[in-house]
Amino acid sequence: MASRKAAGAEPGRQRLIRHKGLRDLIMNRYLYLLVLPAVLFSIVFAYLPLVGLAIAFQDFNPIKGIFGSKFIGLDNFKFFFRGHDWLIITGNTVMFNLMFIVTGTICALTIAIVLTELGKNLFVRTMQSVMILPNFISWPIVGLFSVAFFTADTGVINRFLSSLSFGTIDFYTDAKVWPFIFVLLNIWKTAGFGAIVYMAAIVGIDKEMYEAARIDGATRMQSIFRITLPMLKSTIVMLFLLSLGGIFGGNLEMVYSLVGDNSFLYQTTDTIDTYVFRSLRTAGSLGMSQAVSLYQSVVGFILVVLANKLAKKVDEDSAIF
Amino acid sequence: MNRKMKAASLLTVLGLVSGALAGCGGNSDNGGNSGTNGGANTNQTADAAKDPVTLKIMLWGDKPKQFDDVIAEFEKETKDTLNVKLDVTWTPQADYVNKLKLKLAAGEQVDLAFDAPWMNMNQFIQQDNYNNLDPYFHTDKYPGLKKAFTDQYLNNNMFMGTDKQLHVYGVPMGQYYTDLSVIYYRKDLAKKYGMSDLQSYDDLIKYFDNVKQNDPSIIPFVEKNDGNYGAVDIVNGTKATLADKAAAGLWDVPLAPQVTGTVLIKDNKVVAASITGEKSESKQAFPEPYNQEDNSTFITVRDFHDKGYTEKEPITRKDAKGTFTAGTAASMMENISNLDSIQSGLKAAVPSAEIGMLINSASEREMKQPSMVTDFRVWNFLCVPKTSKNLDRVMEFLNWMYSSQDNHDLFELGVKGKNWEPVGDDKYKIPDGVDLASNYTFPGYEFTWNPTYIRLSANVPDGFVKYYRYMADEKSFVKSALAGFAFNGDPVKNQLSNPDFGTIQSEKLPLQLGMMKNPADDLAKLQQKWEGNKTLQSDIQAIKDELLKQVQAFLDTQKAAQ
Repeated sequence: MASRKAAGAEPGRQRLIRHKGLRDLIMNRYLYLLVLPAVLFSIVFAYLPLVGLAIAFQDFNPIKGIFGSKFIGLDNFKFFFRGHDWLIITGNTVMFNLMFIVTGTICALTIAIVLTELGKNLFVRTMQSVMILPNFISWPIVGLFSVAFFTADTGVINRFLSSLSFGTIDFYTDAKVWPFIFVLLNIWKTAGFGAIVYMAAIVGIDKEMYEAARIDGATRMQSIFRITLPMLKSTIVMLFLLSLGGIFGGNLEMVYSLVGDNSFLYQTTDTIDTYVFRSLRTAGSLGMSQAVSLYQSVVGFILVVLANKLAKKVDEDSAIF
Repeated sequence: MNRKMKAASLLTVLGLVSGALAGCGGNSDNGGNSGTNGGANTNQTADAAKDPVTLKIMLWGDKPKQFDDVIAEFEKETKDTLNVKLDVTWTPQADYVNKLKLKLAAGEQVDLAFDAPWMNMNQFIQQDNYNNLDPYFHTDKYPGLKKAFTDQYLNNNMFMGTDKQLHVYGVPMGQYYTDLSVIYYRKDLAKKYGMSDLQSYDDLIKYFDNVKQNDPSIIPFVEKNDGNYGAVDIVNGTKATLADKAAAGLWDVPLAPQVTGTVLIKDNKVVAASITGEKSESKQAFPEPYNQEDNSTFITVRDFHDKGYTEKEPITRKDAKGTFTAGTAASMMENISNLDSIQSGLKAAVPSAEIGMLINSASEREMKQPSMVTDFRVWNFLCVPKTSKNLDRVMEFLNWMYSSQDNHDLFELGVKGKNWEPVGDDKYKIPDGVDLASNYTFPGYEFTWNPTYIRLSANVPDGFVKYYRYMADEKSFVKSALAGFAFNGDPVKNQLSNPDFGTIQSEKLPLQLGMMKNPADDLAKLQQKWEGNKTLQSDIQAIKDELLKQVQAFLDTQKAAQ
């Protein structure tokens, strides 16, 4: 329909259209048409499903559907705050994600810089492939492996420790060790993949700057800290802003695969998602689950917008929008 | 060049749009296909009595091996009579509850679904999502259903509908009034240690000690990380039974998946109640010894743990049955009805293994009567959602399945002669030479179980056949004072959804698994924590008030009915 309308516009009439944007639209109608699939895709798969958010405010009954269920206002939201530990849990969630973002960024950056400094050869290429491999191993499988490492009776780590006559660590009853394990495993799994983005950005940096620096007598370290990192700033900030949106997400898959329902470890491992999953998996009210995830998304959204404003103030180029 | 660009952009757009929307189109195509297929078939078998229909069935668990062969056999046998095709969706247990909900939410057609009061069933009946099946029973139009479901059996398994009347909302699946817990152990290992068949708790402990001494790499007793069928049950098996508790006037009532209440009833009056996580004072009114927290079980369980009878960290054990059948554990607990699947699994992995059985609870082992409590209700049902357009055809299919032992056995046991062969009138065995690991084993509790059509495995040792009679004997049971009562959680829905109920359950888990060093102290600490949780306590109070009200109202109507 859009194309027929555009095609119907006479060349002579184009000059009559004053509105700059509209004129541009008609002039380049075939180029703009290219965007149509993406727009349709977003509408169908991203915007239409938003109607489902209504479930968060309903006493949802599957048979009656979204439009027939009873509206109950904010009742579903009360459920989460009813629990005693929601503050600890929110704290854990935010802390984990912040740690993941910070350590993940640092490691990915380091890997990217080290690999590019090494130049291009077979070794670097192989390393690159090996490092992104963990990203494709799903958490439940990592979880199964981890038991073989951490368990008290037959775990590899405890056997190693006791063979060196150190004391053993009871991983599954000791809450303190898990934040470290989570961070390490997260780095192992995501850093290699994250490095690809930074490597691409580094390749885009003008080589002449390095040459000029070298002529001026800059060392390799100086080039890294004075050229590479500053040039990467906007990429880093942008990726940080994007990951901020998921800061209230609970890493359900990771936590559940690694520790499961283990109340010894709740103090440090319980996150919003595991908490909600545990209380709703059997009783399963769709409305309440929807309410919690809406809460997570809204807070994430607000954080992204605020952080973006801040970024804009500090450095115009780094902001996403 | 301009024209080229035009053509190129149009082509790209067309391709992308059709690609992006392919998903939507594909779905409706499928729907259409099944419709046209149906039409085509009618033409082919113009003389068939009925239009062909595909029944969509939702069951949980893994698809049984050779299931398609059984379906093919069924469709072959009934082509000229029922003329239905069965399209069974098997869903992993963890996802089933939500998947069923979502399917119904999406308005997808589901003709028959496995459901139970411990899943969606009560809620769905209250929301008028399931068909009332009353008209199909006790009528000569459906002789199979009439034969298999006696009046009493149906009456015990009715549900309160939205019209406040009792109706059949699900086809009840049951064989016995209970399913005894059995400790499965390795007879071959016991023989190796010079022990005869285990007969008592003391024998069991001796067996554990022997395993520990002679086969240190084998776990004496393996338990799953959720605590079910665990050491707690072994210890409780030596203690007072539920029938004893009932004699004291105490009855347990499930309120929500993670919340249980215990009510004290005297002369048709509710005197007191206590709910999961409530202050220990609430039990003061209960008769001895139920008026205080009992730590002794947890202490013995910890003792098991310290002696190495159980694993050091059972909380990481995801599959107890698999560990036992792989030969790395010397015993496990499961229901008596699972003998066949456990035996075949074990034989497949350890051909020299021999399986032994010990009834877990002492009073059940001695066949004391009564020693169990029941409301004579079954646990599982098959329901027909209102989204089904084939209600009559589904019931005709069920009528067929329940009209004869042969029809019933086709689904429960597989193709006769290939998957199983009859032994006498009421037993079956697996034919020689059939590979146990790839043979058809069907979870009958969700589709076929019926007291009229029971075939026992010929594997059941002669000494254990009596226990099956014991499970079917009404005298073994005390009828629950609350039989027919189902707690309606709607008025306290928000209170019941307090996430801390879920936390309580998992905080108690380490005690059940023997992972807490000082069970008595730790339980006291937990109790203190729950009692200090003000929101939780006020929620409990609200639930309790509602429970007392509903139970009393129920008791009053029961009295009036008498």
